[in-house]
Amino acid sequence: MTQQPLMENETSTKAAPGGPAVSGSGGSAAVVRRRLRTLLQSPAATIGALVLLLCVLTALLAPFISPYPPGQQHPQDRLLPPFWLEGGSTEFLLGTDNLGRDILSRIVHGVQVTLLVSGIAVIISAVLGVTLGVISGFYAGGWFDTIIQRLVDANMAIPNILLILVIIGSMGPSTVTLTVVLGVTGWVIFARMVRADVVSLRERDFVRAARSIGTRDPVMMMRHILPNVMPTTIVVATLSFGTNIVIEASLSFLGLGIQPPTVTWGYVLNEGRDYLATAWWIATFPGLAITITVLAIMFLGDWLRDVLDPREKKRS
Amino acid sequence: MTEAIEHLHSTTEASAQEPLITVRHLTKKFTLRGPRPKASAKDEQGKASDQAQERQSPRNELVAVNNISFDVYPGETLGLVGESGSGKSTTAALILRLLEATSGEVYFEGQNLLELPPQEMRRRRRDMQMVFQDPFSSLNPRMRVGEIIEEPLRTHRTLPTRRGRRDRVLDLMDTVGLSPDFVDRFPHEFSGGQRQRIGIARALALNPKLIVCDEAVSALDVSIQAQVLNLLKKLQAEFNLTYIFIGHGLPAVHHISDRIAVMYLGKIVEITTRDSLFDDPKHPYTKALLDSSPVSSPELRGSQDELLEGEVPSLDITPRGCPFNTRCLYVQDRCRSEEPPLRSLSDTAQAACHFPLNHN
Repeated sequence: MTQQPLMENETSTKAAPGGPAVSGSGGSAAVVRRRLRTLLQSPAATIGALVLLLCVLTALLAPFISPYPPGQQHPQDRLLPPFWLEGGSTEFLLGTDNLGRDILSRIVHGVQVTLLVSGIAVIISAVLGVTLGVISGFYAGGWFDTIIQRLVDANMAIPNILLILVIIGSMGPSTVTLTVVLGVTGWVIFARMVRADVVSLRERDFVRAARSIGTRDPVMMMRHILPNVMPTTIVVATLSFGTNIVIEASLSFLGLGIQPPTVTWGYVLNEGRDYLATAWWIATFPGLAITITVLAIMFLGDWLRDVLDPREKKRS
Repeated sequence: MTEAIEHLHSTTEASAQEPLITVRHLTKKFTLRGPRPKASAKDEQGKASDQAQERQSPRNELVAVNNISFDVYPGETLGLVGESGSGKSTTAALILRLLEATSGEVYFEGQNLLELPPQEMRRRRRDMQMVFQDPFSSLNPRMRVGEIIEEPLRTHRTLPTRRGRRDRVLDLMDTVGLSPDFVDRFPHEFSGGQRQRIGIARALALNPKLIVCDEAVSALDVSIQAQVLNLLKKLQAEFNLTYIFIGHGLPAVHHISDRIAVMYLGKIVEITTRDSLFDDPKHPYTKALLDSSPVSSPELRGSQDELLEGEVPSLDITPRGCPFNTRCLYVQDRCRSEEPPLRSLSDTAQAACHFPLNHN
């Protein structure tokens, strides 16, 4: 043997030639602990994780921690600024809107639906887009690829928001409809990016090797292609998540999104647009909430991409 | 061309046994997209290049492998050498049907592989495996070494149990000189030589009859090259393997091959035993190839080195007549008009040249 590979990772020591079940039930707790440690090593990922944890807790505990019900109006306290400004009141920490509703309460109540709709839509888009993208790229130039790519082109020709508007307009708005429509129309960017990856992957020698072994195409796609498009998928997913929040906001503004009295961040944000000059806080705080959450997801996505790459596992 | 094939059949060592692989008139054409680039008139002699470079192939077509025929006998190593773009790797891919040939036949134990239906071909693949050039891209970075070596076993369901496959994998790792402790590591943790050993273990897993080594050592350090070549030789003796060894490094090819075929512009210009090729090259191109290879000792170096000038012509404007006539030091008029067939010059040597060196 020419040289020993350098390995400071403790996994190697327990990788004895013994049984195939190296990471059994006992090992999974250790794996979780090790993953957590790598998470804490990355400040950005730690912040991202904390923010998301806060979001989830808020979503679950909204009725208990929110100062007021989201729709409760206080006609005497309309358009109050946040508490630290002149005229603000500690009763309404982030101020009130034109109907005297507490902004903080509305943000707290908006977390749940906002995250669920965007999150589930991203999952639908990713499953659709990655599946189609992998098959399309694997048979690049074939009839399936041609059909998919024409669909992608067609989709790019129409603004997504317009397409969603038409579908929702004809089906009637509801939370479920919105989620599904967002998900189904969002596959294009996944398919595009993944296909580009696959076209280069399928020329790599390890795919040729699998072919020369006689591996069947579906197995090849699952075993050799899919794991190698995960980095791209994660990056696209984090971007797509942010886009979904914004689209949902626009639709709510047009009255075709989530229907009141359900509150979402996008809805609150758009309500505040008319008051940007006079009562900036109505739009600013939900906007901040969206920004921070999307950033948190991106941080976490970056970390997840690195952790899923075996080459990065050396550190720890 | 037909006489040439008869000659191939009558090669001395051939008479003893049936060839494992018989390649006949194998041709691969690629269709080019877009307009064909104009033939540049940078002929160094200043001759009108139009006539010499007049294309034989129709527009927008590139003939990567041009009507080649050869045999490989069980247990031997056939070296395949030539410059970049001479069609070596394409030939390998055609034999294993990683690319579909345009025309020709490839017989494996008498069965024409190119006519096999996909299912049959899949089953046949267990007898023929490949070792790739780049040990960094030939292993899936997201699979553990054990999984990589196990893949052929899973694909062909040769061993039903997980346990059985695991034992076989550990066995194979031992055979190629890898510590079984490394079974759960990822490829990136290994050096180039070790990765190549993983690739070899994967190729061995199904007990193949033929292994095609496509530039298998070209990417490695010279010291590691020797180790891997010796390993390949050891395995060949142990498992009675047949190799098609593709390379551009002459020392490596010399070290491992029994017979060597020299390719130029998609054609075999000379095929002969190793010693005859190195001691007594018949084709001017072979001689030029040997002369261009650096030799460590002045005693070993040929008396007068004749180095080639100019570049390999582009494949889509192959010259009329002998493909080598644009660069040949001994070129004559006949070479520019008539293409020399591959013909027997001795018991072992065939060359495609009108005026072979040291002949009569």
